[in-house]
Amino acid sequence: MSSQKSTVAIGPARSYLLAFAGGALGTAARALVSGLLTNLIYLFVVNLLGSFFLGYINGSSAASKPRFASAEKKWFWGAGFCGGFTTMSGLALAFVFLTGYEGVIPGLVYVLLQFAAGLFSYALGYRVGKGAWPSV
Amino acid sequence: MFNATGFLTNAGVLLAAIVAGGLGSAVRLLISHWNGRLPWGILVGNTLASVIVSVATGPSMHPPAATILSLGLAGGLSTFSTWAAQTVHFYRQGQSLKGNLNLLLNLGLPAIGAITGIILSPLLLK
Repeated sequence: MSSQKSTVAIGPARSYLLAFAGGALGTAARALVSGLLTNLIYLFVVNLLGSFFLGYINGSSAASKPRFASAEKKWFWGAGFCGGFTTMSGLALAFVFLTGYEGVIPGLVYVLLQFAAGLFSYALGYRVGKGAWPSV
Repeated sequence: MFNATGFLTNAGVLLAAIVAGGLGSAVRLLISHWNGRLPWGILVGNTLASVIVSVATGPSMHPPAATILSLGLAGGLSTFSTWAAQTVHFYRQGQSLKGNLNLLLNLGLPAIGAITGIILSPLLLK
């Protein structure tokens, strides 16, 4: 029993296979978007869409008729696809370059605007997924 | 004229980047289990990925390797959507301090990671 207590819960092996597959799909979708748009616009698009979709997934599992309730769907679409589709590293590099070339204010405005829009987008997706919007 | 070798090379690099993105996502899921007062695992993943992306996009990096590491590995390892989910849930639970900290740390540490990568890049890739 003591050995169980000291074990860190890291989830089942299939969760990693599903996150791998979903992450690969998310990366492919991100590669497509990055090829169509300029860097600063592309980051906004993937991060906002990915946040909305993750919000939708989490919200809909709290809905009366859950669509993403199973752990498998959450591993594939949530941790996998949304995580692989969105990026914080690309945003951090864009922030550093914008600050270096344009100044600290444009850099901060860009990243904070994206942060605020991302939080709003997640919250909106959650409401839509839960079925609490636009009916309320 | 259609350049078959060039097409296959580019398709191979893209495929490798997609696989690297899957690997990064699986590693991120593993470290996302590290949660304390804040979701430390995601913060570490985002910071580490920012070091990788800025080393990879350095001027002396081989372009295919840069694509595989930045578009693939770093993009998969880092996440914006999970950060948004965690931060919104902190605010909704009335834990504004945690929400603010998670926001500021995910702004500052990945930026420091990116700057570190820019400094390290010429040293690692002489």
